[in-house]
Amino acid sequence: MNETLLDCAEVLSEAGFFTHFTSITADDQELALETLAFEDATVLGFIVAYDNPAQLVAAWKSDCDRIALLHGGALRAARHKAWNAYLVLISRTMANFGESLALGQIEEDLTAMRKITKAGVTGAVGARAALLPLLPFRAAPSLDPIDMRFEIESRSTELDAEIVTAFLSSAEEAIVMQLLEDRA
Amino acid sequence: MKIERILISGFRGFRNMVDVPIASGFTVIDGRNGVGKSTLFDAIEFALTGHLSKYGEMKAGGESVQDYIWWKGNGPSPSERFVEITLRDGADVLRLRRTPIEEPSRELLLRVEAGMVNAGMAPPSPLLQLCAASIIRDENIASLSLDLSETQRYAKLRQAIGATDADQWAERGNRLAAIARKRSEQAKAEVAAANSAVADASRRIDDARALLAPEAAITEASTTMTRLLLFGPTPPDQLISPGREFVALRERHARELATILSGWDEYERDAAALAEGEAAIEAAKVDVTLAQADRALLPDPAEVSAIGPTTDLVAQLHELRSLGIRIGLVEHACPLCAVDHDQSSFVAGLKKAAETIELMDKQASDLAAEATKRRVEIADAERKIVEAQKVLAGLVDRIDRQRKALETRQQLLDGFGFSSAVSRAEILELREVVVSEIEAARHALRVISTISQNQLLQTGLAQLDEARARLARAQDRAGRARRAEAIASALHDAARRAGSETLDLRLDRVLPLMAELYGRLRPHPVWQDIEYSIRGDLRRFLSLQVGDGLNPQFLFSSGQRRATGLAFLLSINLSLAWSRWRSILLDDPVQHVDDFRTVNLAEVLAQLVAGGRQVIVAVEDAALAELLARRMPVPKIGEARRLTLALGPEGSSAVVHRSDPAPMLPNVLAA
Repeated sequence: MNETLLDCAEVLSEAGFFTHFTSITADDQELALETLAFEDATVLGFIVAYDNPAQLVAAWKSDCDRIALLHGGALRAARHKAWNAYLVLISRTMANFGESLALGQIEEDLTAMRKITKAGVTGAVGARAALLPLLPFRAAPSLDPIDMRFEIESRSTELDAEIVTAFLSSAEEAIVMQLLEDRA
Repeated sequence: MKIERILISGFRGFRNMVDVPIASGFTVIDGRNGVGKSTLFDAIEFALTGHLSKYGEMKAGGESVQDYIWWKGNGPSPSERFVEITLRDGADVLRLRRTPIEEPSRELLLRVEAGMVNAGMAPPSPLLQLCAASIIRDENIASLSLDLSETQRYAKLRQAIGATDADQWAERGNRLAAIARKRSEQAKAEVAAANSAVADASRRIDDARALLAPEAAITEASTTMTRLLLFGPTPPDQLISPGREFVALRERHARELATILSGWDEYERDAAALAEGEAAIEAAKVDVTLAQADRALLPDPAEVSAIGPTTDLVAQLHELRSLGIRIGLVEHACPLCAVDHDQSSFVAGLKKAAETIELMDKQASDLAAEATKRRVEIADAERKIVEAQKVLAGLVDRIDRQRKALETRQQLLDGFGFSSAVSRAEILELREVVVSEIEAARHALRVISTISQNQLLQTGLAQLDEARARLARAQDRAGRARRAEAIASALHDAARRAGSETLDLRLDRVLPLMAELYGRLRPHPVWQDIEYSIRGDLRRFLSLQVGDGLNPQFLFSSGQRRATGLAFLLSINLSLAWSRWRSILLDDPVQHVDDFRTVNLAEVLAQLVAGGRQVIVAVEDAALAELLARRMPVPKIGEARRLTLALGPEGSSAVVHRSDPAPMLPNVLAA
């Protein structure tokens, strides 16, 4: 089984997607097309992994057709959900500048399925980066309240503790100043 | 807390009451320009804050947005104009209503605030800040994000996630440091003043010492002064006053002697001339007497007139004769003398009268000449008397003056015990004596007067001691003030570092989210990642970079900048650590954004909704609204909504279409 697709399946499963591997054969093709199908309540889609961007750019259209042919019935049955059908095209090796532009153009082709392309995808991290638009947000950090008194105190340990306490109290500045001069 | 409903009547473009139900998941609103999409967002902000921030302080023709908040035409009465939003927090429901004449109670606003922010973490005016971070308007997407300066961008992020009281502590530290600095400066000035006082006292002592005469000189001067004053043994300090009087007296004598000497020649001339003058006076008196005698001898001119006819008489006779001629004989008689005449005797009489009158006229002329001659002689004699008297008076006056001058001089000489026979040499000799006494007395006085310098010296030494004590006290205060300043500065520094370091820690946790949002919105096909970095120490900057140190602010197209701005503003909203408001409101966020990036935005919004956020988004294009709505998750009916706004027949905005999208089919591929 394709390692990259396995990584993608793991990432998608963690995000709550149903995943399912499919091997699409064709008479005029030597090799079967390995794909990963995925679906949640809102979207569905297919992932195809290529060795390099050049292969991807060359084959994606015919591969798209093969997927559409195989899953045409399901897509038609999906009704509104079919608007949210994705084709994720990933390459294991990095793209050069020209290939990046070519991948960008594939993404900006909004006919039929929504296309996501990504080059240099290896491991779960790469899979997560490729599938980012489909995944939940990285949780926004939970920022606890800051006790500024404590923070200031911990940064003024070289000073007389009573002076620091007076500074951090609600005492008027004139009083703090008086203490400061008395202790100086 | 989420928005459940917006109820508007007579607000902005909504003339009639309009009820806008908002779904808890997402609500997509479409409508052409001017149908009131933005007004819905205005209504939410106005209900929460009482303000419409998007207009800022904008004014024109003396008017501001305040004059255009409520419906301007015919419509509901002011009492029926209102904005009301319904907020739901679990089972709690709050309705916030504002009208032209009534605001929500303070208690209600506090309840809303408590539901929308985490107490203890919220900044001042949290609802204003929440609206600023949660209502993302088309016109502000670039200006409030990418187009901000790096410091403004940093401040915006700090406001969202920073420790809200950090600035207050830093400000307290700053004020304390400023007070300490000021006191330190004052103490430094006191030290300078005390140093100056010490220097002044030292200088006065030096001056007094320099003027102080030696003891021997004082003794010698005292001896001289007692000798001059003809005193017995007297303490030096008691010689000063009499000594000054002596000098003054001797100076007066010197002036008098100088006066005598300066008029010496004149004196001698006056003395010699005095006898001659007296003789001249006697001669002048004789002259006066002689002149008076000459005058007495001259006859009176009136006597001459008395002995013959006068010119007046001659003139009267002429007149009388003329009258006789003009009248002529009157009944054979002369009209003048009434003597009978015939014509010839009358003419002969007139001729004889004429001859007589002529003779009298000659005699009168001779007498008049004689009288004139006598009067001239009298005047001449009287003038001589006056001149003689004048000469006499001049001589008397001159002699008087000479005599007085001689008397004055004699008085001066008497004052010095000289007789009038004193010689000039004797006067000169006396003057030399007086001048030498003056000089000796002055010198002695100068020396004796230095005794007072000793008192000044004592006073100066006392002042120096006092000034040194004052300096010591000032130095002590300055030392304390410097130490206090250092401590205050350390406190300020600790407060500042506490604020910036805790913020940096938070930023480290928030920046990945910002980068992720950028990655999802994909503004640029090549630069798919962005790097956010904080730099600066005193002034902090939030820099954005793509690729190899490139600034997207100047690199990206208008649509790309807008997409990048959206990533920034959304991440700010998601980072609001103190917010409990789960709503994000986007007013036409896809203007100038192409279809591809609109899809990216739809995916981001879908993830926000899936994550439990409430998304309200308004767009102009119905197809675009459909695209957005189709991509959103719909767990169940009622949690998503599509609304269309349009203008009604009277030009008032209204909701003309509403639909609630249904959940999509599950398990399509699995089947």
